[in-house]
Amino acid sequence: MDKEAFLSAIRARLAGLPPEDVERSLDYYREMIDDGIEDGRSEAEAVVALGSPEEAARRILEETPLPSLVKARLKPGRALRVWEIVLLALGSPVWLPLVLTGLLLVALCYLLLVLFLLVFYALTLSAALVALAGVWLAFSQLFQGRLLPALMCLGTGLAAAGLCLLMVLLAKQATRWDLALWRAAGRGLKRLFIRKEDRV
Amino acid sequence: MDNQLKRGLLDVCVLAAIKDQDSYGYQIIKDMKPYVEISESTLYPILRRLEAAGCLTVRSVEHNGRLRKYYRITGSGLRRIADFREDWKEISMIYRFITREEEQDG
Repeated sequence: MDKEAFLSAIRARLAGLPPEDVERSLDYYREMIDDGIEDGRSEAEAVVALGSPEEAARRILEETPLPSLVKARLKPGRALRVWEIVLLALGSPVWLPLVLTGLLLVALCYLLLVLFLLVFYALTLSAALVALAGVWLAFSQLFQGRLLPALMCLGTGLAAAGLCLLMVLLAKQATRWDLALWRAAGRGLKRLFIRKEDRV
Repeated sequence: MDNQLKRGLLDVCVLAAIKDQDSYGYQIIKDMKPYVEISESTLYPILRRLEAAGCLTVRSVEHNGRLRKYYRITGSGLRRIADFREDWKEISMIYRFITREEEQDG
């Protein structure tokens, strides 16, 4: 394969991506080939050293953010023919609700993750407030000479403080889990949009 | 090696390749070759990632009538290398512990 054929093959597989991204990646591979030739390789050797254009395109696609991938995948390679438009319109009662439901499910899952975290943060905050209130009340009871109520307030405040510390630890772990889950889901979704033949 | 682990390690390797002086893609791979096998296809996303993370900057330099991209490490990039060296101390202690036990049994 010669230089132009290699670059064209990559360009074909990146169809639909933003043009700056496509050009940037082609510049990179063009530079690699040119530097290889300068280093003494023949054009054919330099191209072979880069592996297959499919592999190159796959790596580029894997690093592309998900929204760009979705846009590229959904963009048709050519203008839609009339009958395709008609078919899409006629079929919309079927695929439109499905797509909307799918989007809704994804949004709900994201909401669940966020709410899960908010519960932890809210509990942490309440425990902190109870701790503060307990200590405050303990002092005010003490100034009024009421020892037993003061001790009760202090005890409650300290217990709440302990609970608050525990909640902070749990909240930190929950946040870490959420972020890991989110990243794994992103990677999984990206795999859906990278064509099987581009995957290794 | 575990894929995720290798990913992070290669990032630091590339930063180390440009630590002392600016370099370009082909040269980076040549420099790494005696130590670590990395393909041109693997290097490209690493460079993009590091640029997005602010660990390196890119500039185009005229060379023999064409443009060549040179990569320069940033403060963040140097910090990444330093963090890795700290992590490595921990890893090597763990390794010593694991292999010390084997020596005692052997």
